Amino acid sequence: MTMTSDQRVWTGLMLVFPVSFLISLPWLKEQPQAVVHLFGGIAATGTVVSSFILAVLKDQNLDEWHRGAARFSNQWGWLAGGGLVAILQGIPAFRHLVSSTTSSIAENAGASDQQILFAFLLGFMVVILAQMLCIVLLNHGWRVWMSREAS
Amino acid sequence: MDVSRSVLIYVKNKIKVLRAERGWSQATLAGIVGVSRNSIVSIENGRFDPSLPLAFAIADAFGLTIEEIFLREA
Repeated sequence: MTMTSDQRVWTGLMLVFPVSFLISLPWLKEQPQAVVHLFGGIAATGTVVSSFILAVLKDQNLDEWHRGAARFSNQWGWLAGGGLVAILQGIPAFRHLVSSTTSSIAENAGASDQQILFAFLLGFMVVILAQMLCIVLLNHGWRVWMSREAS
Repeated sequence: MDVSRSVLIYVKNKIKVLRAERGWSQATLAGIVGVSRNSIVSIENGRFDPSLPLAFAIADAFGLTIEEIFLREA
């Protein structure tokens, strides 16, 4: 399904907030806790608000077939995304990425409140992004499966 | 709740034949009833059951009743 210009703008905004948070982690770790809270709050609020507006815009253009795709992908995407993060923990390369990222944030032994907050927000962002990815993939899979020619 | 009785009813339809008789493409029919072409493709193939309002809209497009288009598969 093609996106309208409004949907493209809000999709971009929805991605900009978590990505900018992840990119700014090295800078944020040097900042006082209040700045981290503010930045994290803005990122989380921006993601939720843009997601909500995008959902409303998309819903206005859906027919029942697309609602079927949305229902299927939403029902299973959240679960699959959460499961995907758990499965990724078993992959050495992913574990190395997590540990190296955490090490870059928590350079000293003994985690501070700020470092714990970082770890929590990072984990939250990873789960959200994994769930978004699974929803998109399942939505596409449902459309392809339902549109295939009769055998 | 036991829903097995209701979900085990399979529905087939004559949309492809009726469309061919009128020389309509899937996109044409989709435009008439106001849905995406994907909806018509999936309904034609029997992979997606339309809602009652959409079934009525399809029937109206062909000038037939729902029962003349959608049949309960034996």
